[in-house]
Amino acid sequence: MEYTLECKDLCKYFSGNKYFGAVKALDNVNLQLEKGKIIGLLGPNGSGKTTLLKLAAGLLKQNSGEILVDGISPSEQTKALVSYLPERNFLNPSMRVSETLDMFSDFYADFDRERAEEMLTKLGIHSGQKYKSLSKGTKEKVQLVLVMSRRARLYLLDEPIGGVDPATRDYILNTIVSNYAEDATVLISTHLISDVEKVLDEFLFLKYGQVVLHSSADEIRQQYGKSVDEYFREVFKC
Amino acid sequence: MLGKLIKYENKALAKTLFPLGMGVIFVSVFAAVMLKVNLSVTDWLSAENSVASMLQSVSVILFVFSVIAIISACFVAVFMLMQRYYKNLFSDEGYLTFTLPVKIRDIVTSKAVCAFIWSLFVILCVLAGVFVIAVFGTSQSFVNSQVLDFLKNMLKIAVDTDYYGVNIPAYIAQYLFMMVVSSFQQFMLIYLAITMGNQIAKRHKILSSILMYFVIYAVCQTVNTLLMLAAGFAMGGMGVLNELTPTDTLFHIILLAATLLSAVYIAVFFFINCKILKNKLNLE
Repeated sequence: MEYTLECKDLCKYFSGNKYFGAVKALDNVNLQLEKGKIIGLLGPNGSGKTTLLKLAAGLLKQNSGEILVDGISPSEQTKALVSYLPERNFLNPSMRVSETLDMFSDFYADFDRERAEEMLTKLGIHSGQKYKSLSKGTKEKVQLVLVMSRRARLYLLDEPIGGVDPATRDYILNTIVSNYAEDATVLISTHLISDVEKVLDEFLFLKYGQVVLHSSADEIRQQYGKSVDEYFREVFKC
Repeated sequence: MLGKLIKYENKALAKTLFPLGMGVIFVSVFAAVMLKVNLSVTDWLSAENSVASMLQSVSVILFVFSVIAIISACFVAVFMLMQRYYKNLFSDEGYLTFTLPVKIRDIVTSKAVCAFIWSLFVILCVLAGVFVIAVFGTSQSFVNSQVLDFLKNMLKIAVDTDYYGVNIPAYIAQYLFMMVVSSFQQFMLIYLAITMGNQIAKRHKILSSILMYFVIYAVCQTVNTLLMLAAGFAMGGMGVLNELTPTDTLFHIILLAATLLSAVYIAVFFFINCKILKNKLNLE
């Protein structure tokens, strides 16, 4: 079976090497994500969530092991399949919102400009505005609109609802649920478990760079008699 | 995809470098006016008048500042080009640049091509500015006819195919070609230094980039010197090289060899840069 995202003995170290002075961001991660699922990537700060997403997006290189998107190592080919939302403002601040739409239309064959414009209108964002003149939350909304307006195979969303108000959070989550294609996979990294719990099919718990649990929401509820949020608080209790 | 990358790179650079070029022209006109004021003030007022001497002093100071600003524009342009490369690849913007479905070599090529186009634009603006100052600012009449005559003579020589036995247009073309190639070499060297400083060094990345620039530059200079010595030795002493004039065929062969060497450096810098960005990329 071909998985949308697959990791085999994936290791990533920072500041050093495997043997000396290394900070293990990911330590022998093995996982397979199937298509058509929305998966929550959960874990405390420094557990390796962002590192995993960046490796899948092709922004980092692993020290050992393998990471595959649709069976291919991150490359120019996989970048056409992956829609990545980082936790940073990746757009050139001097660009207008309309220019960012032009750019995505030019580079991504799967970008649906009409859908993006519709979403921007619903969110009350004028496409003539300069990106740098937008508030922090609005910048995040623009980025999310761009990323979710692609018909990608794999969406990698790093803290997509971290900086927005609760009303917008609901809109964003609805956008995520209603916009991804049936054969696509959505991997969402977040701390706001109670907000996202209702839209997620599966959960991936990371701790110290290792996968400690990969399970469906129903399994957690049935097995432990707790919501995912409660379970998370128990497992990662400080 | 290279065409699209060039399109967006051009757009981004135009936002800063076009106003810079226009600024150079504006400051040049201002400098020409200041020179004119300085030359003509005694026609309007008597030399002993305190306003006249004050106007003369102020106009000289403003002229000097204008010239400094025009010269600085070249350095500012280079700084802006370096900053664009750094920001677009290694700051937050890199998260988009490196997730575009494009080849790494296309990213680097688009940067170098646009850097060349925009540095040429700034150089042309500076030359136009110098022209304005020299022609309009250096005499009390509207234009300085002596400067114009001098430029006309230079132009005549520039198209002369047999100027004391030298084909000047061919010589200029060869020289310009070498300048184009060596400017690409400079950009590739700067880009490689920034990439190495950012992706290989763990900390002090800007300092590491500057250090890398000087290290690579020193290596190239050493190679150049060794090649020059070898060439001089093969031709029977360095004196042969020093005595060459544009009428000698060997002179043109050496210019061509220097251009070829620059092209080799471009290829090496480009190859190493792309390899690092492809295999060692670590956007933190």
